[in-house]
Amino acid sequence: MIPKVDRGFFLTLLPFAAVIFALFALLAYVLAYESWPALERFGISLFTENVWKPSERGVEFVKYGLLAPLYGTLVTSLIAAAVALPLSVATVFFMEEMAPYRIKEFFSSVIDLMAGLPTIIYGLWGLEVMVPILRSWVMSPLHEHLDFIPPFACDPLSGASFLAAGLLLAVMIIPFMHGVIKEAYRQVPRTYREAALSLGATRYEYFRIMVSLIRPAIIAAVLLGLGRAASETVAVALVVGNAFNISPCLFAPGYTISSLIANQFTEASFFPLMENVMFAGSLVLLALGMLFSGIGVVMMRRVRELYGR
Amino acid sequence: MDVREVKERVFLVLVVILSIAAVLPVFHVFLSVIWNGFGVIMEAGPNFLLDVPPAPNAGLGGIAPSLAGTLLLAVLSSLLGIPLSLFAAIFAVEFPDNPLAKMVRVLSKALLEIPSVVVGMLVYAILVVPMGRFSMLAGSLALAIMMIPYVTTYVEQALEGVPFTYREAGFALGLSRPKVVFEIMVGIARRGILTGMLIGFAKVLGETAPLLFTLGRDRYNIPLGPLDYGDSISLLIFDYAQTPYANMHQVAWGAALVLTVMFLIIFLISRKFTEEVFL
Repeated sequence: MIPKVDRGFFLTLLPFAAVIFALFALLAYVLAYESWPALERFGISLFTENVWKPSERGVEFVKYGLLAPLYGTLVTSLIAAAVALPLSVATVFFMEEMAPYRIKEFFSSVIDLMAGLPTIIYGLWGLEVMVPILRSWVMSPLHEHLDFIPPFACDPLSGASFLAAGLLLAVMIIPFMHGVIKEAYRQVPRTYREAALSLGATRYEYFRIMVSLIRPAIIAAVLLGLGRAASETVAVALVVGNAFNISPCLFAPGYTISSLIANQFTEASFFPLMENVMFAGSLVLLALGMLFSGIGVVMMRRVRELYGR
Repeated sequence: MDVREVKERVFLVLVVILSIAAVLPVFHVFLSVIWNGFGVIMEAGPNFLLDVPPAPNAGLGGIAPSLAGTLLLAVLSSLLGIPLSLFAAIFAVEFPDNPLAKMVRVLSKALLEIPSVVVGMLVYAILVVPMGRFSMLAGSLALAIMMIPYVTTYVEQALEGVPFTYREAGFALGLSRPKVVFEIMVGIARRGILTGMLIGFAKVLGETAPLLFTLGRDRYNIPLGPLDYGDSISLLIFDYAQTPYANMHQVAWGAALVLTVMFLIIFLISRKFTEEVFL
């Protein structure tokens, strides 16, 4: 209960807090209200089929299925997390255990910069610099020599592809995953570290012990990184190629939910149900993000409980 | 050397290589932006900041409306977002046991989990459609929502970092709760609070996705009122990078350099603040 003297203060601040509640209420209402027509019309097939047939003629002529963007979101986020994980773990170990003070400070500034740099800058760089380099130095050679392996089977046309989007996302989520792992790493008590080292562990063995001690945090970092990667929009829209495509080949262009929205939402109001389909897509995106970050937060809490700080 | 030592060596080399690989791309990004952007701005001259964008294949022009839009948006969204975040954070810190305050704390962080493009769609649905037009106001609202989680986090941390004795001293002097909060706590925590505001400002400066369906992309007129259409540098880069015209790609690079410089300035200022707080 709020004491009587504080009640006025409480009530003055309450409206500002209420705005934040209202935002969530509005979000829930808008997403439910706007996606309902699409869900009602197409049912589960909205997420299990790959069709994109807009029509201006009327509701009966349109047919949508979001499988391709869902697939693209999944593939690009998985590539990103798989590439970013070893890099983030390495930077944490390097900064915490190996680097001299100055280098450590420098690295930490650079990682902060990476985290804050506007995503559109990554996007422009990805489109104009990274994609051509990837295409001529990675994709083409792999395709020429190893085209019997399905992920390398298709000819990289423009270079904009699942792989390009995944790698660009990896760069963008490294600082984020780094932060999560670093926080847990620092919580491991000194006695554990000393115990490992006094038993004569090499630094490699020491590293393996440390990693096993913060395993929940590593899972959390992967989940939170996946969520981040899935929700990234403009940078991906520039490098993913924007094609409704479900292909095991990483060099093929694709779509993600968010890049689909970025590219087509502005024109969507001209076609019946298209906006609703996109709201349904964003609902999925949001649900996945909430789920991942929920599990991630629980995992991080477990680390904190383990080492009690 | 036995196997364990070899393993250790290989491991240490691998860690260094991977660490460098992790940060190398961002250097390449910076160098590319400077290299490409500098050439464009040199070629276009000071008009790059004063002129309107070019027609396809017709020189370089400038990015004045987008630049003005970015700055105005950052200011407008700060006017909306910062007071809201500040008071919400004070609410969360001052009444830690109250269930409403606990929820505010959780929800203001949960805003971070809403994809930025969905924030844009939300504002489109609640403001753009009812008003029947895109506007600077809608763009600012979307950006204000993006800014809330950052600012509240910093403000909460800053306020919680103030030792309890200062608060007690305030009460012992007979000050009321609001006076203790606004004249003592906020005063002591001002650097942390300022950092939070700067981070929020820097964050919205470069945002693109929340503006896609809210701002209207008028790149030829400087927005004069909150109900005018507007543009931002980030949107200009997004659109021009997708055009087939060489001169528009150049404009995109020049704009990228302008945006990066603006971001770096705010980044350096906020670094200075945090250094002084934590040292």
